[in-house]
Amino acid sequence: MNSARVKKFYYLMKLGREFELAAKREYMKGNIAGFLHLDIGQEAVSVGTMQAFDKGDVFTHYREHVLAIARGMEPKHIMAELFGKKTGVSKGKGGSMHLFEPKLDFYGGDAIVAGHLPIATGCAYARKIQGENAGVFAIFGDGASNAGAFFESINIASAWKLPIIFFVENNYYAIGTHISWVSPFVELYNKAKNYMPSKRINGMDVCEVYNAVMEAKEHIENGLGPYFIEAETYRYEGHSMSDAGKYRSEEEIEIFKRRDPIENLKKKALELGIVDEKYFQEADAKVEKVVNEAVEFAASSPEPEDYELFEDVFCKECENALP
Amino acid sequence: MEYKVIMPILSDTMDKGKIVKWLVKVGDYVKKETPIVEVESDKATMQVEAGVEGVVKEILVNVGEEVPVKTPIAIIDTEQKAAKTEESKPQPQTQSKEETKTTVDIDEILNEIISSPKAVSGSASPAAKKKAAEYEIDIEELQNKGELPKPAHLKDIDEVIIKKYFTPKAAKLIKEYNLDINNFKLDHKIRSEEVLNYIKQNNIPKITKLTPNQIAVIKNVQNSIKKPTFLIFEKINITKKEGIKLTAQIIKALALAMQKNPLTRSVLKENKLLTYPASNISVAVSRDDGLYMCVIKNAEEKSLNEINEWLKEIKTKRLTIEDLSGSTFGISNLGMFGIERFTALINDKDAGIGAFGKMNEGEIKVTFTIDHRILNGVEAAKFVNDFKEEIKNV
Amino acid sequence: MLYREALNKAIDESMAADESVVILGEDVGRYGGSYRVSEGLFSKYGEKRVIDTPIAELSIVGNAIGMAIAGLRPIAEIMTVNFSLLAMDQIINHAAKFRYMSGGKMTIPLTIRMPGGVSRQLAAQHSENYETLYSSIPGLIVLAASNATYAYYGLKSAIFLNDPVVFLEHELLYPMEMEFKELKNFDPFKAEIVKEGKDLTIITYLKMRYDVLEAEKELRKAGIDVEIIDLNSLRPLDIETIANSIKKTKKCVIVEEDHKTGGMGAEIVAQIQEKCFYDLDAPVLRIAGEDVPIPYNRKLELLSIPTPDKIVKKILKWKAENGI
Repeated sequence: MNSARVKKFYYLMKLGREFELAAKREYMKGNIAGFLHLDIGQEAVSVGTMQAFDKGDVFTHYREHVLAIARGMEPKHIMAELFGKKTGVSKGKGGSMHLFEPKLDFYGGDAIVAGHLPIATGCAYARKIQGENAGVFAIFGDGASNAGAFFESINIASAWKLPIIFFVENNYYAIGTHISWVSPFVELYNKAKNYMPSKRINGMDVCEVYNAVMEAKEHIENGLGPYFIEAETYRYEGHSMSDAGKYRSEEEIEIFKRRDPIENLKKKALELGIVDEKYFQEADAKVEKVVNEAVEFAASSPEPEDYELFEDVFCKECENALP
Repeated sequence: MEYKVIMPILSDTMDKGKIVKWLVKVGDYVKKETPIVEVESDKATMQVEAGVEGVVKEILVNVGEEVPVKTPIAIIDTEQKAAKTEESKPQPQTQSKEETKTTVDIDEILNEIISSPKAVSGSASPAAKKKAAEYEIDIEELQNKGELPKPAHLKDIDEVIIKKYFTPKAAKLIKEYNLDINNFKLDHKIRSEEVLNYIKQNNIPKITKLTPNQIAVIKNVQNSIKKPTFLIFEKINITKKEGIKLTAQIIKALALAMQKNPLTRSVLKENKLLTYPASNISVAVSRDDGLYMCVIKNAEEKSLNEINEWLKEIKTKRLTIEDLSGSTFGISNLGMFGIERFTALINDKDAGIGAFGKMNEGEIKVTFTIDHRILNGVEAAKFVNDFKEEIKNV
Repeated sequence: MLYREALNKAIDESMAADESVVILGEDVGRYGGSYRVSEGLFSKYGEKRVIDTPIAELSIVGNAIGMAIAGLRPIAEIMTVNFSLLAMDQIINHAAKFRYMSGGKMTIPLTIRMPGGVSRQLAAQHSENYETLYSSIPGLIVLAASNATYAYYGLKSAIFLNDPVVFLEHELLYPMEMEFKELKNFDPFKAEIVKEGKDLTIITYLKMRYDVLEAEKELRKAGIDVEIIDLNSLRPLDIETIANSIKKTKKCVIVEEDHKTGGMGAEIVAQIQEKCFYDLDAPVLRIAGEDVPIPYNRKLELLSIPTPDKIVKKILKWKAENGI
């Protein structure tokens, strides 16, 4: 364990957690609407993957706020997007599920389950023929591993030896459907192992996530084709704000809460004496400040103008040419 | 400071919520994440957290009651714990999301409305209605009087406008010259003189549609020009018979000469030469309805009188397809118009044609146009000589 | 020039001019394209840029979107428009919406070529048009090439536009020998006035252009001077050209091969009555495909779509019924 890295992991995970809690509060106040999928409990996956996969293209599903933060997107612009404000990353037109930032090669927030996997695969093809070996990172949930697009994508990626990491966060539930009811395997790495190297890891441990992605990254960078990682993880909240999560027992939630990625990292770091208590206090304070600022920024930002309704449907060039 | 806990929005479709159970009572100390109440939404029952640190000061909504989202349901006093940590600052007061401007300025809207076509009652196409409105025509009234069809179309409205603004004579000119009535100032009754003046000033042509026969003639003469022909110029001597048209005499002599020259009774058809027994001759006839190549059948068997009668009848009778087909040779006579000499174009599939000029002291100049595919020079010369012999005797 | 040669020329020249242009689809490479449109391109540009994909339409379009995000200009070929339904999610939920839902940050320069239409006895699952589905989607440009000139210039424009284009072709047109006109100025979104006339406007597109041209000869004999408009672009729709024509002729007929209910014609009629209702001297007539799946039997198949003969009869009947 490297002190600087642990500090960064902790800060980003804590920031992610508090950001999501703030989002939840704002949703209840009516400042955020629509579907809001919280990442609480899964921060190790979001932070560990993005810290390891620091170059290349990222294609993600719609539970992506913390991924975006860990990739380097500014929390205040994400919060503003959640508020639907003009200053949001997608100018208030995307909302919680659609946080795009091409400058960060972050193509986030695809809200069609498994819909982004063929796109990530195509991007990997392009990167291969362009001679860029950083490749592509595609993250999705256990629900997506049952969709046709998933199977088409692992087939093509494997057939063409594409530089792409398929990363499934297996939190066991597709909304309220347990993976065991709809899949022959609960351990999803089984689905890809005939196509590419596949492994299952503990997604509640940020270091394990980080190391696994580093290994996969090396594999794809060396032109050895795709790589598959299944991370076991858990969301403490419902699927989205409209889901009370009643299909899970208190005991089950408790089991995973005991494996909380943030608390456990802190505990371990203190035990090993790599990071001192003071850092955690400072980090928490900083997180609090950043999150409050994000909320204030979002709340005080202007609504999009009416004319913006018609903007960004087509590129400027096409818009001018269209009658 | 007092913090109002509101009925939270727990789903995208929730607009009110019911209190299922209060998990705290007045005076309880709560942290930000302490669950304080169970709320039933349209989708599920969920626990709601305090959101701030403080002491519950008041509970505003009782168990079992249903209130709209965002309604305050409890008050938490944040001051009591404010000293302990700074972080429990109340959340920035969120502005109630103001709806976009909903007031309406009627005058503004009315000003923006562009003048649309006046509503006209009666049954008519939109274009007809538009025009009727423009010219203040009451479609319904005219339809009640039976002067306009139901539904009325543009052309019907045009009729009404013409009737309204033009004298009958002027209206006739409008139709004959297909004039656009918009070129006239429609504020008075327009007489034919005004229309004629307009026609003259603008040099507008009168449009006459070609009759099917005229179109056929055009096609015929165009085809004729493509034929490989040669010309024979001759003079014939003829004695005019009283009461008989010269043309009749020419037809009779030609028919007899044709009997001696089978090629003049022949037509070409798909690499075959069809030779007919009869002397069927096409004759250029000028009628009131145009020029026709009328065919006299078996002219060799007909008497001069019969031919003469035929020539008279054909000027006025109703022509059938029989009257216009079946010939193998033709004639055209312009002598009666004082033409000295001319050449004619071969009719349809005929082998040739004779063009006859005016009689001058018993002599007529004639030009034969011969289709070289059917007759060569020698064959044509023999035929012309035979004709010259026959004409002496008729 | 054959219609398919015009398409090939457009792709070939685009690939030669710009290295980022790639083509993908089932049988586009080694096989040369099921309608020979991509013939010769595999040997010329190699397997990296002429990509043989599995027959998995969702992935063909999905992969193409990914390539576009990575900076390529992909041309995805869907073997027939009927199969594009499998890719509908990628076309509509992804290609068409990425720019908007990212607040203008994403650019998807993608062309999806789709042959379609009633060919010869291909039966219900291989004979559809579906242009209405695509032209009702904001964020998509839908072009329909009826002739070699538009096929060439239109496809080239589509490839270099920075937005997703659904490029519709008709299966019966591929082997047709057509006149090719060199153009100096080309606007892919402008409708073509195929023939000027004063009595009646006929609006059509794709293969129906030729049926209308046949019908026009008969209508001319009946003394009707027809103006024919070929739309070229189904979205955006060149309503200006349509309205100007109706202003002149006062009467309008729409001839489309697709099913009548909810078809392109329905949208065009709606726009006409919004734009120039008071220029109409009669209700707009739609001559369209019947509301049935396309049958296999040739006689029934021809009964299900407009033919020159039917176009003439329906127009004459409509004129008589409306007293115009």
